[in-house]
Amino acid sequence: MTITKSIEIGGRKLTLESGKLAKQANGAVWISVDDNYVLCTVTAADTAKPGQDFFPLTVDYREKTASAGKIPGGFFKREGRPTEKEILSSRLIDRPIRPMFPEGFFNEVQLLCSVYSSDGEYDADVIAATGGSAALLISDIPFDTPISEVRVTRINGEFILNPTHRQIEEGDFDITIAGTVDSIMMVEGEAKEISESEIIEAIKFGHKFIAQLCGFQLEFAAECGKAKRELLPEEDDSEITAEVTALCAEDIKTVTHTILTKEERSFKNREIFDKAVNALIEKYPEQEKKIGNIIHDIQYDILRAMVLDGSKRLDGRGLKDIRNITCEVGILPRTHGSALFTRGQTQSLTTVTLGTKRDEQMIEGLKEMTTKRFMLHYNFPPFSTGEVGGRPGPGRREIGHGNLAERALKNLLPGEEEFPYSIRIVSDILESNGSSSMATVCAGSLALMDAGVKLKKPVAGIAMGLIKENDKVAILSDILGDEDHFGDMDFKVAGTADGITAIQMDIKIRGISFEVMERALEQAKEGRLHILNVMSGTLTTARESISRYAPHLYSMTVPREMIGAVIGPGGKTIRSIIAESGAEIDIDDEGKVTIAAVDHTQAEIARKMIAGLTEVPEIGKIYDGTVKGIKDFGAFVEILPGKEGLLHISEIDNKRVLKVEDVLKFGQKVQVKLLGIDDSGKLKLSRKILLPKESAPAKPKENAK
Amino acid sequence: MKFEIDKQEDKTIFKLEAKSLDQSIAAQLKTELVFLQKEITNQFIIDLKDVTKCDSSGLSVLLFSERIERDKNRKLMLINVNKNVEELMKIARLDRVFEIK
Repeated sequence: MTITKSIEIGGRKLTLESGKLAKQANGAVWISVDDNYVLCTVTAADTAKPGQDFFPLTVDYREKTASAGKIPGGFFKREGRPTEKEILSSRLIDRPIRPMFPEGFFNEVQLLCSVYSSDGEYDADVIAATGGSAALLISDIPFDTPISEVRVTRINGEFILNPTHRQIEEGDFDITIAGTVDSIMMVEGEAKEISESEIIEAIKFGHKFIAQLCGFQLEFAAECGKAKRELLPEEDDSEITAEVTALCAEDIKTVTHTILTKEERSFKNREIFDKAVNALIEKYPEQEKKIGNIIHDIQYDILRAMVLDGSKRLDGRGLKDIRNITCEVGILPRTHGSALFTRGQTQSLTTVTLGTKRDEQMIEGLKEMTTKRFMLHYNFPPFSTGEVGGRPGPGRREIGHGNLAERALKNLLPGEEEFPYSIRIVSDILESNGSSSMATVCAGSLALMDAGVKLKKPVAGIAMGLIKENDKVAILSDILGDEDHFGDMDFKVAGTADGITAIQMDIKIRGISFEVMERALEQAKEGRLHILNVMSGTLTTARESISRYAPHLYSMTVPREMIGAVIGPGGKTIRSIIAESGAEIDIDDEGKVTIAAVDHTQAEIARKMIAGLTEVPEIGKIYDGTVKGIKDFGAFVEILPGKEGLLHISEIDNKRVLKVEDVLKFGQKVQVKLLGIDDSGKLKLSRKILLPKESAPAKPKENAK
Repeated sequence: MKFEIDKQEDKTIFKLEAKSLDQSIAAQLKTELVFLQKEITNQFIIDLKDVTKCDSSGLSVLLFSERIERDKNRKLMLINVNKNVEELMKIARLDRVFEIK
């Protein structure tokens, strides 16, 4: 039986349908808004794999190119590995859904959201998240708290729900918010330097619709939901828990309360674990994992209690204290810009490379093909945490972190008119103990200024944590890796001294009020300003000039009707200029020419050649021409690149010329004057007019011979 | 989970004696309601006097119960709904689904 239910949300009709498509999945929902259709399917394994101790959920958001009436580019002509956009959207769906599964549910779950129709105006990822939640809700999988997701921007002071791509560009920010009927679970977005309270207002605005969408999903599920499968009863482990606690609690407390480095701490924790295993393994064979989990739970409680009661942290800092920061710039001589940013045990070595228009990244998706001139790539090698591991390509986490840092910086870059370079930042995390994406923002800001990119203002970022136990709340600035793990909410805020440019929040518990959120954001601002202040001790503004090893860009404009002449048939002319000058040349539809060359003389050669191509012949002007063709009636002389005129036989010399070849040879350089241009645009040239008039007596002499 | 059932001539009142209508009791409550609602034919009423908190699992149970009544061409009535709970129903736009008295 097909169940269809609709709701009006933000002036548009959203429809959920189930029972017609993909009926063998545990849950399948066909969600649509206007012409955008997404099929969300979820399947789950019947049992958990033996020994499984984390929740294996995979979320894939895929955009079928057919949905927008397109055939994929490339050789294979079919959708291959997920694009960066798809990975980022998958993360936006995964993050709020993941915490909604019951604890201890370790069966493999796969949520697939496929866009089957797209109007190219709206991003379908937020409806995919809502549809994904609905599919889980109506399935037999234990998931009973629906989440919904919306995107919010603001134009002229007015909030807009689920804006179009164009509205997002115009708007003050682009924020994606996910939550349940009564709580916010995730916030992620970028902004053009807005305040903390404006963010909160946007979240409040978004939540109204999230609550409605969640209510709507509950109604839908009451119509067509399957009965939920029984969860395996939890094993009774009170006995082993009591024994581990008796054995280890004191030691754990001592270690937690001692100030140690990350390595020392993990060494001590290892000792505690070994001691517990040695003492108990005979009584509880093969329960190492269980013992480890119990120790982890004890640590969890002790650490949280320590922070909440004593306002003391693992490394002895107070809640608002930020670790020691050092900044260095210009450390890599041949890169166009570089910076090393170290905050406590987190370190980013970042480079900036300037490129030309040709280095822009082409983005193929469901909307029109676009290009991107600013790229930030984040790498997190295993050695940064002292681990051994393979090095496959960038993972989803790395793409997500890179994207956040990219968004933090991108709105402060100079415009293309002003600074026509493509810019790539690469951040390599050399050491990590929390907050490496925000270290990337700081290092990126410094490296950009080191490269001479006129960044409007310096940008810094900070990672924050929050622990809440009933009414007690502790907000932690600049969190460590371990604190991230034990917290109830972690959030990252990047911005300038004047406002927020990027934000990412993940909330693991329900019931964090807007008031607490606002307090947390205020504390993040304090931290951000502190970091900006430290950074300003190294560089406050961009260097005057760019690196001598960077390509220097020169721009000139040619009349639009001349664009064709510069490019030539099939690009022949422009290629020959590139080959001859050694410079790189780009020309856009408006006639703007950008010449890129490391060496100034190369650029000058190219510039002269283009200027010649586009110069309009001027009557009466003298040109240095080249003979390009010889005919009985005269010679064709090229006076400007691609422009030839006729030098009539009678205009070659003062003397009478019998045969053109007697005076001129093919390829000969010859000075000529432009006499006129006839109606059909043909150029009339003269050489004779430039020659000194032969004295009258000379003639008779010759004649006398 | 504690509750009281008051079967009268023209109505049946199910009084939930719990402070929080949430995940911890949702599944059990749902089972109780299914059995009860199957056998009664008069007006069904849920008394939420003691309930001060409700979450989405709670809302889900109430919607489920409403669904059963609707299949019988009846409407579920909720009485003594706490302000917080009603507020939650309102923001989720579910207040229109129930008859709240």
